[in-house]
Amino acid sequence: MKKSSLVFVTVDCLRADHVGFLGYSRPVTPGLDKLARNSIVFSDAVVAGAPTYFSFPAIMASRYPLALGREVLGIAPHEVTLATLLRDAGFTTAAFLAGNPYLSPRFGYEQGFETFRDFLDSESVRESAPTAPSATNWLSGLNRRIEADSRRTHLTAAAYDEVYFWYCQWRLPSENLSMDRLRVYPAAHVVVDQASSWLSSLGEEPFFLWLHLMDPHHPYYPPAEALSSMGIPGITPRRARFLNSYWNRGDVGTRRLQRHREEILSLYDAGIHWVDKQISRLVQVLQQSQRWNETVFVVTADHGEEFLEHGNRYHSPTNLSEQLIHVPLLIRSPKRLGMQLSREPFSLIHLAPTLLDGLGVAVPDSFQGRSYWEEISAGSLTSAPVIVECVKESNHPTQLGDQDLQRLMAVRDAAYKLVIDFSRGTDLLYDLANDPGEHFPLPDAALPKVRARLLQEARMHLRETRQNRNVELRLLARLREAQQSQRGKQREITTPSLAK
Amino acid sequence: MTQYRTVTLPEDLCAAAEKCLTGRFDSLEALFSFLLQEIAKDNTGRRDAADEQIIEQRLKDLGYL
Repeated sequence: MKKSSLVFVTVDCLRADHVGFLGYSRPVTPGLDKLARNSIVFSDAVVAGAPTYFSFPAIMASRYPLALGREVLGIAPHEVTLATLLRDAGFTTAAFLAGNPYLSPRFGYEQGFETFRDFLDSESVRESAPTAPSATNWLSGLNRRIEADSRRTHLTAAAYDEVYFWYCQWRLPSENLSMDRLRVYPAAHVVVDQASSWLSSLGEEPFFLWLHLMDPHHPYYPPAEALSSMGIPGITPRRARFLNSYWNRGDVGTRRLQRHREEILSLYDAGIHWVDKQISRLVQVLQQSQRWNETVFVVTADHGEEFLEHGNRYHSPTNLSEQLIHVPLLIRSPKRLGMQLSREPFSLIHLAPTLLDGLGVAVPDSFQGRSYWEEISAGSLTSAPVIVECVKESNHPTQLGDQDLQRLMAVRDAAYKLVIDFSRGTDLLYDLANDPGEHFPLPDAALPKVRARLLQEARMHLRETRQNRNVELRLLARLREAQQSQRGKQREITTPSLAK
Repeated sequence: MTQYRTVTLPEDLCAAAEKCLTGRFDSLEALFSFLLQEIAKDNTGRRDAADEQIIEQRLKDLGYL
């Protein structure tokens, strides 16, 4: 019997509560909502780590992010992954990834792919976004002196920061400004165009196609067409640039940032809307090429995004809030019709083995997750706690300083969530049913049995991690990193950070 | 004083590997030293064990271990 193919779409920063099929009231995802009506929908899918560099080892290799040590990022050389297994099973494989440097060959993500395009080279990425003209030497010198003087008191520092921010806004050029020029990553239509072209070159063999889309990632510059399609005509490129600059400020408090939150959310939603449109276009391509009825189609995300719910922006691993770890997941299989809703917590550590099982490919022992295909197909997914882990506040994970930081872990079931902060020695228990926003940790003495049960899960996870560590893979990954850093091949990894 | 140990490896394998070495690992000694240091320091194992102890202590405090 001919094997089904697999199209696997991962969307950066896509929160579960911003898609229609999981209850978002804004009509952002009509295409995905339609797709969900004939899919297995997981309403409680949870990543195994966040952000991207702590999430994808679980997604692609069914391995917890810290299992090889916190110095190891990405996929280790020769590590078995969803892609290598499908390639070895006779699938033609391709990946089109919209310019996320943490999903590059430096971190092993090309393994298993016969065609791999990460757009990091890249003529598709912004070529020449307008920047402020350079200040003259004497002006820069004067500025540095004023700034240094302003740091003497809190008040003068705040005044300097305020004036400097507006000065920078004033100096930015406004001619020929467009969302396309401001955008840092290739938009979803560019990625889908290339994937469609690749699909048209295929024969009858089964294939594995992975797309990673970055449109909801900051800085938020959705295509103008997405904004108008959503009925948000008022945000011009200039306004979007201002909003992104303001949202990125590190010198203002939450209350001032809140003023622009709704507009930032509109930009974020428009990015999701564009992803939705392009995914629908990809589905059409598959339908028109008669491949749809032989294709398992999966959409999920590597993590979510925060918009001040806990005082934070973006997706730094400073906490493991639901906004960061709860993601959409739908699996459309041609063998199933109608929507099937799976409400139990489902960790993405189990996604790769589940998909392999569904495709009739053996699941390797090296995977830390297991297949739930049978249970899901029977509609009887049982509830088991999920583990999420990261290195707390590791925003520059390739740097030695970050590798010395402490682990942050969440253990979560359908009702409760325990967040264990090893840097503080605290474990905060949340009753998600009554406090879904995680604003009120339960008193230390409350629900000791629940707390102990989740702590036991954490203990078991750590013990298994320690006992089953693959030293060879760890060494190979360390060797790769050492060679790359020495050869100067490291690409400077920069993501827009909180400016001073 | 550092003492040294001699390890015996096939000459043709060493010669073939040396042809591939560049940058940081400009000799087999540098390569093997790096690999053995990585194995010996095992920060990862120590950290995981320390984290596990924190959990165990918490369970003991709660009376569940």
